[in-house]
Amino acid sequence: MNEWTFAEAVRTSLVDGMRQNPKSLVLGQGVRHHPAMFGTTRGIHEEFGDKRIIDFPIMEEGMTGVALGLAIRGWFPVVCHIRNDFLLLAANQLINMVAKFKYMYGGSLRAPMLIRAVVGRSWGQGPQHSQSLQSIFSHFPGLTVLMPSDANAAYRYYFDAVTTGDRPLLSIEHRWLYDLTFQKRSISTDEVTPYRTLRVGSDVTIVATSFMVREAMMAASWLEMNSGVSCEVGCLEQISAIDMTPIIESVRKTGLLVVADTSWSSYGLAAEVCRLIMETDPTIIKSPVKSLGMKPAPCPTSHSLEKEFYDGAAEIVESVLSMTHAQGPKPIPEELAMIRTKFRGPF
Amino acid sequence: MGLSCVRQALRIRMVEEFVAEKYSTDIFQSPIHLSNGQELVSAAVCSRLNKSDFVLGTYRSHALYLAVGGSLRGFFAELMGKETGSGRGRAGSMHLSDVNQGFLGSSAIVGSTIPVAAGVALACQLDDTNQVTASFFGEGATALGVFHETLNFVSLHNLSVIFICENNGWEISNPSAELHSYDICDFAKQYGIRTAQVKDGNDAEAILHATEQAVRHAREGCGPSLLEIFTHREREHVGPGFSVSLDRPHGAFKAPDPVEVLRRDVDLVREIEREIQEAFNHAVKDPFPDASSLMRDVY
Repeated sequence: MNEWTFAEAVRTSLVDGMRQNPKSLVLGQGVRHHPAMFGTTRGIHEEFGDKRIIDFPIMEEGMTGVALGLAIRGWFPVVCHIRNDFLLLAANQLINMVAKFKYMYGGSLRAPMLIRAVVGRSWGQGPQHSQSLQSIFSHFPGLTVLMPSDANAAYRYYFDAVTTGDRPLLSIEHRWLYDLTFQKRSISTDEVTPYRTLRVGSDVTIVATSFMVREAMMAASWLEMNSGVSCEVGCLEQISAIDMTPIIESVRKTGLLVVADTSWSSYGLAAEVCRLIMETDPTIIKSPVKSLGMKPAPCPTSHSLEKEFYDGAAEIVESVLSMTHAQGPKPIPEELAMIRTKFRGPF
Repeated sequence: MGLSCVRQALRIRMVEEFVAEKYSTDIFQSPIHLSNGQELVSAAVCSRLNKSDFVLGTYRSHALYLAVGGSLRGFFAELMGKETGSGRGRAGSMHLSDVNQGFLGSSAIVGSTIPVAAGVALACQLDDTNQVTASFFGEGATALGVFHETLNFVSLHNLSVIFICENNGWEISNPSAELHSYDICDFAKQYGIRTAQVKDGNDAEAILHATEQAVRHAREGCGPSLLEIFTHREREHVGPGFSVSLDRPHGAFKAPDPVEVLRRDVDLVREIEREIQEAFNHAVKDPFPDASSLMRDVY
C-alpha cells in the first residue's frame, strides 16, 4: 500500500527537510506536544530537540518578529498557527515587515520562511476558528501564498522551502485534508506547478482550491455519470500572483467557469480570477461565472446552519447544471454532502 | 575615554543640522525623524559594541546608522532616493540599514523591530556565538503588546539582547508621562530582566558604563538587559523644525551638553563640515534607480 495522508506527508516533509537543513526550526504553540498541529509535528521534538522545536507563549505578533530575526540570520523558521484566524494577530509583522523586508532594504536583507496556518471547519468551530484568509494575504506584493490540495504537492512545497527556500511563504492548510489518503508519489519541483489540471473536460472549467478540489472532483464524477456533462477541473495552489495561462486556455475551450474556493466571494479568489480574465480576453466567457465558497456571513456555530453556510459538491453540481442547461436527477443526492458529516471534532 | 563617542555625536548633530537646513530644497524626499539632542545615546552605546554585534532601530535612526559606521555618502544617497543608498533608494530615512555594519533594519512602524531583535539574538544562541543584539526604541514603544511579548520571550530563553530605551519624554507632541501608568524599568524587572537607568543623557561616561555592564552580562551568558536612557529631542517629531518641547525641557540634565562643548573646537568642526559637504556632493551626483528596477526584489 503506497499511500499516505496529507498530514503524514506534511510531517514527513518537515522531518526530511529538517534533516537536510540543520539550520531550520519549527515555532508555534503546541508544536512539541499534543495536538502537535493535528499530528503534523508529531515526533519531531523527539528527533530535533528543544533547540529546534520551540513552543511559544501566545504571542503571534512577537513570534512572527522572532521568525524574521531568525531568517535574517540564515535560519529557516517554520511558523505554525493552528488556526488561520490567528494570522490576524501576526499581521503587522507578516505584512508590514516580512512581506516587505527584502524590497525595502534593496535586497540586502531577506526573510525566507514558511508559515503554516490551518483552516478549521465544522463541529461548531464558529466565526473565529474557521476563516480561510488566502485572499487578504495574497493582496500584498512580497508574500507568496500557497494552498496545497494534495499530499504529494504539500511534501514537495515544504521540503523545497525548508531546504532551499529563499522567500516568505504562507501556506494555508485545510483541516479536512489532513486525514484524506493519497497515492504516494514523488513529484519534482517542476511538476508541482501552481495550477494543475486534474480532470480534462470540454463543457465547463472548474477552478478549485484546497479542500474544494475534492468537492469539485466528486461533483465532476457525478455530473459525468448522471448528466453527461464533461467538467475540466483544475487545482489552483498558488493563490498570490496567479498564473493565468492554463486557466485562460481552459476557459477558452469551455466558455464556462465555476470557481470553488474555501472563503467568501467578496474581494476573493473568484474576483481575482475574473479580473485577470477580463484583463486578458473577456470574450472567452460565454455565460455568467459562478463563485462558490462561503455564504457572506460569519460562520455560524450551529450545525444546522453550517450546511447552509458552506458550498460543496452539491452546489457545484447545481451550478454546472444551471450553466450548461443540462438535466440531472433531482434531488441531488446526500452522498455528495457526505464528506461534510465525517468530521466530529473536538478541534 | 568618552571623547570618541562625543566626537561621533557632534558629527551626527552636524549631519542632522545639515539635513534640516537642506530639507526645504526638496533634495531629501522622505519624512525625516531627526536625532538632534539624542545623538550621544547611539554614539556611546555603539562604541561599546563589537563589529560583529547587531543593532536594530526605529524610524529615528540617523544617529544609529552613523554610529555603527554607516557610510555618510550612502546615508545622503538613501535620503535622496538614489540607487547608491544603503537601501538602493527603497528605504529612505525611515528604514535605514547597513548589513555590513550589523545594522539589521529599522522600521516606520513603532516597536516592530523589537521582536526581530529577539529573533536575531535567538539565532546567535543557536549558532553558539557570543554576539550581542541591541534593540533601540523610544519610550512610546513600551506601551505596545509586542514589547511585553518580547520581554517575556527573551527572559524565558535567556537571550543576549540589550534593549536601549531612549526616553526623550515625548510621543509626537504628547508628554510621555501622561501616557504611561507604569515605570519602564519596574516593568522589565517583572520578567527578571536586568535594568539600568541613565538619568542624564548628556553624561557620556554614564552611558558607556551602563552599556559595558550590559554587554558583559550578555556575553557571559547571563541574559538580557534593559537600559533606560533619558535624553532630549530638540526637533519636532518629524520634519526639520524645532520641537514644542524646547519650551518644556525634559529630564534633569546636570552635565552641560558635551557635544556643544566639543563644538568649540573650530578645526574639528571645519573637518566635519568638509566631510559632510563632500559626501553630500557625491550623493547629489549619484544616479536614481532606473525605472526598470521598480519590480526588483519584490519576491
